[in-house]
Amino acid sequence: MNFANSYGKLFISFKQYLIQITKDAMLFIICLAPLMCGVLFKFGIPAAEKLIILEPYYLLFDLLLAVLTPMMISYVSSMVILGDIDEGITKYMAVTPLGKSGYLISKLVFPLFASFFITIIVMMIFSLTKIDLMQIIGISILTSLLGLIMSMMVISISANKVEGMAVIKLSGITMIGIPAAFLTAQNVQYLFFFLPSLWVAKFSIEYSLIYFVLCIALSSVWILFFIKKFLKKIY
Amino acid sequence: MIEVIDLSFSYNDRPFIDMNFSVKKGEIFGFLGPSGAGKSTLQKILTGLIRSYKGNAIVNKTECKSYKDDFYENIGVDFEFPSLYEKLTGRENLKFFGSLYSKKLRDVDELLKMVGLQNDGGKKVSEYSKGMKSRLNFIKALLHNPDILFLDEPTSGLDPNNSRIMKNIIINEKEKGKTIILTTHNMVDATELCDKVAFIVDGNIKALDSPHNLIMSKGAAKIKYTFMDGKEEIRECMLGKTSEDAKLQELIMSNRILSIHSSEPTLNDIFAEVTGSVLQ
Repeated sequence: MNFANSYGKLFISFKQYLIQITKDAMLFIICLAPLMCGVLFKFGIPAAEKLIILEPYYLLFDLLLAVLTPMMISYVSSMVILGDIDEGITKYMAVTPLGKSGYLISKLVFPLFASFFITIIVMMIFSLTKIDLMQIIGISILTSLLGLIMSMMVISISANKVEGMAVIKLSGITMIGIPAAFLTAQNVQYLFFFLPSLWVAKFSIEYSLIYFVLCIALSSVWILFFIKKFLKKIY
Repeated sequence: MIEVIDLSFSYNDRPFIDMNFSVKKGEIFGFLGPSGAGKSTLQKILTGLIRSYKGNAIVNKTECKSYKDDFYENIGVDFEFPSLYEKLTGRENLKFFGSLYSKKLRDVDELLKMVGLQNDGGKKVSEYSKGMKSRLNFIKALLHNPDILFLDEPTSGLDPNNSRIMKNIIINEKEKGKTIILTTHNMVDATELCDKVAFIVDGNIKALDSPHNLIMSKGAAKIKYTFMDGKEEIRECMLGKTSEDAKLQELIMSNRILSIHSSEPTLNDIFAEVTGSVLQ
């Protein structure tokens, strides 16, 4: 089988992923959430300045926006994959030319890439602060990784879609590192050292490569922690 | 078509599969055994889903643990439980799964007609009955015209009419030269369809031959007769030894036989004799 053919199958499976989203009203609306929040943050927060001083927290709002796109896409991917597990599709895909890896690339990695680019666009359009493009790219890479971890966590822990919905709400706790970096004292912040979200926030505030590397390393540990259970769950 | 040489596999260091066999092109080969015997594990090895085995498992000239992407172009798998998109129609499901193959596909409408779903192709799978899903799942495995078919309980949950249709399709596929691996608990289906069957217990093949040879080698036809001797009594004797049964002779001469039946052992009887357990 040639390279173009393999790619073709990945895109066929990705197209199916998009069809699955359009056939589920809830998933479709979730995909629009970053856009709706972007509009709300961009225009609503400056307007609220008349009532409460929010300017010191503009970067926090930007980060929440940056993490929202991967979170929502991760939620959608998790629901689609859990639905596929319920319907026996994941098992069957493993015995088609798409294969296990093709399935995961089309339903987890492609959406991850999409979330990376959408985060950049959303940040560029709706950001309340002036953030350097390179920093936006860095933040998008890190938040996309958070999205991947979230998907792996939800799929590994949940037995079905209903449980998945509950677990994804719970997994939102892992994002607590972002407000912690803004709202707590320095020594308290480090209580959240195991959360990659803390280092995303530190990277955004201080724009230091060390935090970027730390976040990547910590995310890798989280991914390694879930990978075995995740793959076992899928096949 | 399939060669299994000194195949061994273990779960958590506990030896589980240990076997040798081969399947010729155009043969229907049945794996029979109780749940947990190793049938599914063996099917997973032969379909490339388990690669950590020792020995050789060669399918279509390809070692299963080192297959390339096109390995599945010539393999069709029908799992016991349907794997279909519930929100898509039957036809959309076939179209999507077919698009994953590079080969020329069989006509979708013809396949739907073959299993009696010609009027249901436009319905969402969520509206299908269990039997309809089983039939759709079955033709999904035929869609890309594979050389080898792995069928897991293909008639499970079907009414006798649809079960007959499915068995006729399986026979028809064999006549076209397809190699078929059938995993089943159903001894009647296995006797009717399989050229060879392997009895699998605890990961080992306890017997392997054609159903006819197994039946003939392990047992012989008997006759069972009833008569009145104060009360109704039943006796048996081997068909080849009727002249040695004095009581039978006496009953015939005095016209006192109430009923007489001949019976051959079934594959299930042979399975019970060989493995010490009963499937149905």
